[in-house]
Amino acid sequence: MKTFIALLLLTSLTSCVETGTREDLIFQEAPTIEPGSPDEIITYADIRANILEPFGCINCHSRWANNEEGLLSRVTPGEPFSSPFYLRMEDGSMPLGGPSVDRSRLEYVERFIRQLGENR
Amino acid sequence: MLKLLLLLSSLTLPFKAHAYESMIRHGYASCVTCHLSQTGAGLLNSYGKVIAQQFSAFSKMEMPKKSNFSQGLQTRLAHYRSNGQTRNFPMQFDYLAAFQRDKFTIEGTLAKAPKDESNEEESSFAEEIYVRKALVSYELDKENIIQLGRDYIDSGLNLIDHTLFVRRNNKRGVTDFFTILRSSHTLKKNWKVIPTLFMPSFQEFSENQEKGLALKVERFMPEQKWVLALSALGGQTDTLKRREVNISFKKAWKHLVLLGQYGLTHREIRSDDKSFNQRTALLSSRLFPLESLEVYFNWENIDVEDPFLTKATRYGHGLRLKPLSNLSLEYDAKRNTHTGSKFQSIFQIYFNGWFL
Repeated sequence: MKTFIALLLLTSLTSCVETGTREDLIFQEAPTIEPGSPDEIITYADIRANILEPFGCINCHSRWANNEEGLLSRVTPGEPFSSPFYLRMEDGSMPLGGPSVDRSRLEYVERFIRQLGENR
Repeated sequence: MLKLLLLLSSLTLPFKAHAYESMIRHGYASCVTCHLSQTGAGLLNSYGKVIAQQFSAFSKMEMPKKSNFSQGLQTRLAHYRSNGQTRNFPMQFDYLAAFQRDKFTIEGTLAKAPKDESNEEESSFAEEIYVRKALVSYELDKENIIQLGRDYIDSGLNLIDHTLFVRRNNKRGVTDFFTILRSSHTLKKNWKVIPTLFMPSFQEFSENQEKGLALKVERFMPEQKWVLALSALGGQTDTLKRREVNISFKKAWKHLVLLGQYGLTHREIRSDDKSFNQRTALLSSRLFPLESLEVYFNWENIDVEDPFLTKATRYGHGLRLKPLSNLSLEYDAKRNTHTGSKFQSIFQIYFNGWFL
């Protein structure tokens, strides 16, 4: 019993995990994405500004989301429906603990991945 | 390691259980009949341990030993499928303990954060451990209890699935806990009033540290197997203010339970004075062809106003089998309509083991 209480106190004092629903990120206004021209090339910087930062992806997935190479490791060029980056958002399992990514942004990511197959 | 622990525990632990909102089917309108915790879930009391054996398919009936100290493990292994991809991961790994003496109960839960396979960041074991619950309860008398410590806010239905819109979108995920001062008052036998003063747990990100007040009022009608509840909450962080109201019901027949919840959350963004409403709804029907078998169908809806426009409906079905009092197997599948998602399903093995 004493061990348990000591463990509980110690853990509550030293625990490093920051937890909880990130409402500050979920309800942070991000500009609506306009459909745009199909010819417009979407870059990693666009995905970062419109998806990775406003939805807080970078907070938990900084290792791969912080650079283009890392992001590309999560997509299959030309095949959004085989790309984990798209699928996790599309099925609602990400962002964890927050409302799903809206349709306009999903279409934006879909276009980005399709363009990767066509142009690179 | 996890698998080894599960195996060892399942071989050595004699008592355990899982309780659900659908226990109203047997006339249990409140959680405290079987659980040590006022808000249910977690460790069972002696009576709850007997009930757990009774409602499982193959467990033998044994009388639990009486002890002031209880401890156990709650674990969940998940096999997740979505759009043709699969993942296996430990969804939950909690160590629970409680100590009771006279009118005091001390409860604690240490949890290991689930690790997403897509998250490659290395972290030490200590960095993944957090305190989910650390609560001291004092029983003034049988009808009045005061609690102080860390716990969830009791609001609406206490359903296990943390991804439900009524939970996830109302800050009731598995890592949403607070420092609370709560009391529970039973009035005229069939009314329960639970006021809560809540503050940050200080494990949140600083922008999400919330303080406020919550109130839950429940009306039990055990003979008709009805429970009605109204919950209200007002809180604020550095970034948001929120006001939330939930209405929920439970109604049971011999082999069927209906559950429902409607929630309205009003949020104000403090930086620019914008405000918007969020409405969430849940209807769940739960069939019990056998005592140890539950088949359920869920309908969920969420509607968030501009500028965070989200409109979604989700259908789900599932099956839960309880072969042993310490083991539940659950299959759960959902389909979202808003994103045209193909299909997502999750198969979970729940294990609750109580050391005596």
